[in-house]
Amino acid sequence: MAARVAISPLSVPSTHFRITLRRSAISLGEKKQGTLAALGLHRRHQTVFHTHTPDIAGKILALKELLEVQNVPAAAVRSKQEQRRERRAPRGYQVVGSRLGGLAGL
Amino acid sequence: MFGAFRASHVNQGGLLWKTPWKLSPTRKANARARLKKVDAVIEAVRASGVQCGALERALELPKEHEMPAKDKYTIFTPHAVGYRKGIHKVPKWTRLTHRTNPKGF
Repeated sequence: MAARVAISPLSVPSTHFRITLRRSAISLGEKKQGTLAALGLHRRHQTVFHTHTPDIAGKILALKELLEVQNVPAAAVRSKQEQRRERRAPRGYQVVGSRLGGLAGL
Repeated sequence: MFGAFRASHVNQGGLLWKTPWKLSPTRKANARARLKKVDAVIEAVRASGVQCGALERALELPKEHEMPAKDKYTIFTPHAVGYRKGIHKVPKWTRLTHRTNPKGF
């Protein structure tokens, strides 16, 4: 997890919380489930990013048994689509040309 | 009383789901690991530099290495002899905060 972010906290100041839901809030009550929804967390192992603000910190601490939290700089913030793209396996080959596009490079 | 047809909880139609009275070494190790993960969350919020009341209250909690074994594995109860029972008797105990005791206990 930390290796994937790969930015040392000393060089760039961290501005965001990287929040991952590890434990479900099932049967912990409407309040905690509502707090999770307010953080934008809807399933386990989902990751969201939020800025360092007191209201987000309070929400994290209300759910501290359920979450995993890291401080990351703004450059490490990823949207849902970007996270999907980073998880995608490499294709294993590279297209160097095609007959339709012409084999100009070869 | 003895023999193949003796009365037991199971053959009288009951379920035999017994809760052990104390945690096994493995369950205690898992409990400690969970406490450390919660400590890491509090530490990350403290390191972010944000100031809020929730953080002040969270920092007042004892850390895993500061807690005595009594508080990690047992919890106050007014009903038991000695006022303690195994913490695993508390419903949802792995996802709740119960690090401190009532005053005087």
